[in-house]
Amino acid sequence: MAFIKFENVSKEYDMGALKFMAVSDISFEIEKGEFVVILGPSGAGKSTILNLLGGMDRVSSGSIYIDGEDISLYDDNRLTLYRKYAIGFVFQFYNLIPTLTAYENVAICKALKKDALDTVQVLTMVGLTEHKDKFPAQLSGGEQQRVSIARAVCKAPKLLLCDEPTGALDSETGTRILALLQQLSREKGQTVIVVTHNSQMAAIADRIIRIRNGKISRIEKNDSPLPAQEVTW
Amino acid sequence: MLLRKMLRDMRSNISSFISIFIMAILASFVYSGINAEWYGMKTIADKFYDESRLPDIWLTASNFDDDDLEMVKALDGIADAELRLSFDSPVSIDSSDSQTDKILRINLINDSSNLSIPKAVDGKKLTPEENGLWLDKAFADANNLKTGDKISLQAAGKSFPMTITGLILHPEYVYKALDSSTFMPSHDSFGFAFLYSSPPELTKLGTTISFNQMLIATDEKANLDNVKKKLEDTFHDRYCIIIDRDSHPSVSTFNNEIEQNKAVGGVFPLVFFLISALSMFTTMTRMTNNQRTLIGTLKALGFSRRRILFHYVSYGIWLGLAGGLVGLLTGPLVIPPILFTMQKTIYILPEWSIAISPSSLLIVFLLLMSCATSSYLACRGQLREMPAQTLRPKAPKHIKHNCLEKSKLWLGLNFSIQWNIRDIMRNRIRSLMAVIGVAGCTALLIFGFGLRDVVNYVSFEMYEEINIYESKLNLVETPGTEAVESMSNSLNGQWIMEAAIELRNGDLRENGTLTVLDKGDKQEEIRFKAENNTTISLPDEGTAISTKMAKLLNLKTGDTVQWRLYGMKEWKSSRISAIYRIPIGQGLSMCRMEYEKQGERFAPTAFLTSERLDNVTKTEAVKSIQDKKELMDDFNSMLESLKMIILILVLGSLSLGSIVLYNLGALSFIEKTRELATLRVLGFFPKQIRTLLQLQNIWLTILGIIIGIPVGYVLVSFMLSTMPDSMDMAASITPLSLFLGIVITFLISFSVNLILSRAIKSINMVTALKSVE
Ligand SMILES: Nc1ncnc2c1ncn2[C@@H]1O[C@H](COP(=O)(O)OP(=O)(O)OP(=O)(O)O)[C@@H](O)[C@H]1O
Ligand SMILES: [Mg+2]
Repeated sequence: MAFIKFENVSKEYDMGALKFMAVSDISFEIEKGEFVVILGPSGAGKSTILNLLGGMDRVSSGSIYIDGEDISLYDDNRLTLYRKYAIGFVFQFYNLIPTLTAYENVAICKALKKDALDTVQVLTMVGLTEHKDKFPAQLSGGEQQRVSIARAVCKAPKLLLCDEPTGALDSETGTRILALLQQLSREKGQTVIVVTHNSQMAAIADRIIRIRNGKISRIEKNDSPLPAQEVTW
Repeated sequence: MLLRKMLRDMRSNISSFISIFIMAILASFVYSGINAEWYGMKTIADKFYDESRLPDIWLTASNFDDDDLEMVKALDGIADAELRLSFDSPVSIDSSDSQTDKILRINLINDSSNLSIPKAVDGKKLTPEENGLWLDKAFADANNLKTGDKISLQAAGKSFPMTITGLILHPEYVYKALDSSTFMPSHDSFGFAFLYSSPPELTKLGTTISFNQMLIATDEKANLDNVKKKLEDTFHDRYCIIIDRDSHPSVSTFNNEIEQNKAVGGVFPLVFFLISALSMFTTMTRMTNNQRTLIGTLKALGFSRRRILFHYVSYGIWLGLAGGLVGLLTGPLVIPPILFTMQKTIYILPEWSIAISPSSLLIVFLLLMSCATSSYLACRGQLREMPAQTLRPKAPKHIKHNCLEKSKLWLGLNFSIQWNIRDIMRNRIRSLMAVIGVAGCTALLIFGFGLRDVVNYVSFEMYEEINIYESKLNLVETPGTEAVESMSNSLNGQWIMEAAIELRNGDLRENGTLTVLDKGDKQEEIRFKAENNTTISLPDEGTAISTKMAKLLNLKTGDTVQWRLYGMKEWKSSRISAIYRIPIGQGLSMCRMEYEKQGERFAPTAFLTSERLDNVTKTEAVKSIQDKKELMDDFNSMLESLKMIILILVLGSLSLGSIVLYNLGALSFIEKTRELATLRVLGFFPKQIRTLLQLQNIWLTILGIIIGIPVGYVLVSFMLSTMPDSMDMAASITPLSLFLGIVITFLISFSVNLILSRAIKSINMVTALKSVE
C-alpha cells in the first residue's frame, strides 16, 4: 500500500440551507519521501485536502490512509496525537506565537515531544542562527516562514504539509523557501506536500496533483524535477 | 452616521462594553444608594430638629429657678431658654402590677414651652389644656398601648395612674437608650413621656417641682463655644452639666451612624470606579488599534482630528453617563429600603424617605469624565499619526528582552512559563486590571468578613473577658443606705459607680467615663485587659486609663491625668498606674479607696453579681436589672444590620471579581484564538492549553490576593477610624475570614477560567488560521 492514500474522499460544508461540496470523491496516492505539489486555482479545494490530511478537519465520506492507518476513523484525542507525532504544518501566514522568540517558537516542539530534533540544529539548517533571539515582529516574512518551517521540521514529522508557503513572499525569498523544502525532501527523505496556485511550481515536484472544482483533474509524475533555484517565476 | 458606527462598534465588542457598563452602574448604584439612605435620614432628622426646635445646649443641674433662667436669657447670643424637669420613673402597664422593669423618662414642661417640642402623631395635640400624658409612640406600640389607655407611674412605693392623651415622637429621642451600656433601644422597656407641669394631677405625684434642665437655643450668629464659656462662668459655683448638640447622646449616635454609612458608601464604589476607567482604557486602546486604517480613511475623507477624537471620546461619555444614570436611578430605589428596615429598629424618625444629594450627581459626572478621559488617552496616540501612516499596517511593536530573559535562568524555564511571562508583559494594562479586580474582590471580602469579626470580637471582649458578671442591678439616683445595705447582705457581688467625667492633659480635653469599683465579695465582677490581652488587676493606688483615652490625651504610665466629674468645678489629679483596653467606654477606672482619697464620696450606681437573679424580687432602690444575656442579645442584634452590609459587600465583590476576570479572559481569548489554534495544530491537547492559560490566571490571582489582603485590612482600619472616640475596636480579622476571602477569590477565578476554557475545544483550527486579521 502507498504511504498516503485518499480513497473516495469527500468534504461537504454544511451552511444551513445550502450544502457545499469543497472536495468530492477524490482518490490519489503519494509515496514516501516524495515532494508533491497540489495545484489548482483559488477555491478549488486545495487547502481543504491539506487540512484533511493534517488532521485539522474531518472527511464527510471516504478514507484517508497514512502508513496503513485510516485517520478518518480517529477521535479527537487520536487526531491530536496524530498531529503531534506525524504532522508538521507550514502556513501561508506563518502563525508564529508573537510573544515567543524564533528560538522559543521552535523549542515549543521540545515541550511537546521529547524526541524532537535539537532546536539549534534545526535553526542552523534553515539558516536562522543569528536571528534566533528575535521576536516574529522583528523578522522579515521569509525569515518568519523559515522559523515556521523549522518549527514543523523539528518534530521530525512523517508528513510536512505546506499551505501556500510562498504566498506572502516575494519571488526571490519564495525560491529560497522552496529550495529549503526541496532540500529536506532530497537529503532527509522527508515527505513534503506543498499547496499552491502557481503552476510553475510543478517543475520542481516529483508528483503533481491538479485540482479543479473539488475534483482531481490530473495527476502527473515528474521523473526529472528541476532544482528550485533554476526555476524562474 | 458616526453614532451608528459607535453602536455597531459597541455591539461587536459587547462583552467589554457591557462589563464597563456594569461596573459604572455598580459604582453609581452603591454610591447613590447608600448616599440616598444617609442623606435622606440626615435631611429628615435636620428637618425634624428644626421644626421641633431642638435646643443647641442643654444644662443639667439639681435645681434651676426663674432667676437662673432670666440670667441665662440676658446673656449675649441666647435666643431662647426654658426650664424642664426630667426624671426616670418605673411604670406599669397593668395597674395591678407593681413589679415592673419598664422605665419611662418623664419630662415636665412649662405651659409656654416652645423648645424641643414633641411631635404628636396620634391622639390630642400638645396643649396645656389637656390633662394626662403624651407617650413615646414606640414604647406604646411595643406595649400595645393606645391613646386613652391608662398606665401607672411608680414612685415612693405608690402607684399614680395616668391617661395617655396622645402619642408622640421627639427629636431628643431619635436614638433612645437608657444609658451608655445599652446599644439597641429597647422600646418595650424604655420610653419617654411628656406632660405639662400645670395640671392638678401632678400634685398627686407628691413631688414639688424643681426643674433640673434648662434648654437653650442660641442666636444663629452666636459662637457656640463662646456661649458655652459664658454659661460655664455663670454657673461656675454649681454642679452643672453643659451639653451641646454634638455631645447629646441621641444626636451624636445618629450622626455617627451617618458618618459610618458615608464611609462604607464611599469606599465601596471606588474600586468599581477604577475598574470601569481601566476597562474603558483597554477596550478603547484595542478598538482604536483595530480601527487604525479606518481612522486614516476618515481623516483622508476630511474629518477633522478633533471630530474623530470626539467620536471616540463620546463612547466613554455615553457609557459613563448611561451607567451612572442607571445606577443613580436604581440605587436609591433598591438600597435605602433594605437599609431603612434595619435602621428603623434603632432610630425613630417622623418619616423615612430618600434624598438625592448633589454628590450623587457628581459621581455620575465623575464616571462620565473618567470614562471619557480614558478613551481620550487611549486614542490620542493613534490620531497623532498622519493619515498615510495610519493606512499602512502598524509598524511592529518593538519588543525588548527583559532582564530576566537575559539571564541564564530563562533558558531553563519551560515553554508555558515563558509564554505566560511574555503574555503578561505584552498586555500590561490588562494584567494590571486583572490584578486590581482580584485585589478589589479579596479586599472587599476581607472588609466584609472583617467587619463581622470586629463586632464579634467586641462582643466577646465586652461580655466574656471584661464584664464577667451575670447581672447588673442599676440603682435609682438616691437609693437610700438601708436598701443598699440589705442588698449587700443578701447578694454576693460588687458595687460599682459609673459617672461621666471630663479629662484633660494640658490643652487636650476629652469626655469619658469614670468607673469606680468597690472590693468584691468573692471575685472581681469586671476584669481589666492589658493591650497584650492579659488580665491585669485594678491598681490599689493611682488610676488606670483606657488605651484609647491615653492615646487621645497623649498620656502614658507614670503621667498624671486631671479629671473632674461632669459639672464639677474642681479638677482632681491622679497618677496613671495602669493602662487597660476596653472596646466601648473610654475613660478612667480606679478602686474605691483611691477615689475616696480624692475627697469624693463613693456613690454606687449599680451592683454587679455573678448570681442568677431569677427569684430576686426587685426592691425600690433598684431602677432596672440587666442580665448579661439581655445585654449580649442587644449587642448581637446589631449584627443583624451588619449582615446586610456584609451581604452587599460579598455580592459586590463576587460580581466585581467575576465580571473583571470574565471580561479580561474573554478578551484575551478572542485575541489569542489564532495562537491557540496554532498550538492545537501543533498537537497540543485542549487540556494542555487550558493549563497554559490557567497558569497566568493563577499568577495574577495570587498577586491580586497578596495585594488585596493588606488593602482589606486598611479598609477595616479606615472604617474603625470613623468610629467615635468612645470606641476602641481592634481590627481583629480572624484567620477564617482571611481564609474565606482568599478561597472565595480563588473559586471565582477558577470557575471563570473553567467557563472560558470550555471554548478551547470549540476552536475551529481551519477557520481560525485562514487569513490574517
Ligand atoms: N468553512 C467553510 N464553509 C463553507 N465553505 C467553505 C468553507 N471552507 C472552504 N469552503 C469552500 O470550499 C472551497 C474550497 O476551499 P479551499 O480553502 O480548499 O480552497 P483553496 O483551493 O485552498 O483556495 P485558495 O487557493 O484561494 O486558498 C471554496 O469554494 C470555499 O468557498
Ligand atoms: Mg487555500
